[in-house]
Amino acid sequence: MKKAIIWIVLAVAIVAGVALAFRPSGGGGGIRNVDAAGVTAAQEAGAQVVDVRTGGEYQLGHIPGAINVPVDEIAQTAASWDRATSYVVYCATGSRSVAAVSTMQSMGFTNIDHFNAGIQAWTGQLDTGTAKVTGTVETAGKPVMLEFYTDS
Amino acid sequence: MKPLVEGLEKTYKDKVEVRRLNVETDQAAVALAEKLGVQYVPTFVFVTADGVTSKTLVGEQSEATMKAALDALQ
Repeated sequence: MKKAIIWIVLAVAIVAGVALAFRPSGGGGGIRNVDAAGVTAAQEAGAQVVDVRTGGEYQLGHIPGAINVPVDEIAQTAASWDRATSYVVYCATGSRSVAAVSTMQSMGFTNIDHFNAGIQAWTGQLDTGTAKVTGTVETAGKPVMLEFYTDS
Repeated sequence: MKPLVEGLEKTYKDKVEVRRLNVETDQAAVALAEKLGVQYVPTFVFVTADGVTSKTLVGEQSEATMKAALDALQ
């Protein structure tokens, strides 16, 4: 029974800690979760948007104005960035961007908007290419279904 | 989507070739996505036997929608 209580207390503490670290947008500094509208608002206020997906994913389409820094390069690349600047961080679904935000936070960045739903929730235009998929694909004489995906 | 796609791959194995392309790790997949103008993941592109793209579905899809697109390729 005591073990169960300890685990419950620990779970509540962890949830509370995460909620405080990634609290909803409310203005001012700090780490905030934002939606697509929040990304646009932050950009208009001068924030730098950072896409932490791979270069390949970035090439397929990214939020206009975003720079590409893959999550495994964020610590090295962000070392030279201005800590006083505001940043918006996103990936495909929010998993890699959590790691990137955590890294940046540990490096002393204090004003980060985290687009936690990822680019899949982006409602604006993407920078690159055309929306319509056209072209030809080599086949072995029977129809083909292509699935373009990522694991994260 | 992986379980759904794998299930469809088995169901349609004699009629449609399924190619799963990871744009995070496979540069050939990235090149093909760029060639076709694919912008989002997941994106499903349905190609006729003579190599012409006939239909595109973007985002999570239901099994019924996927089957309808695959059946239209027959």
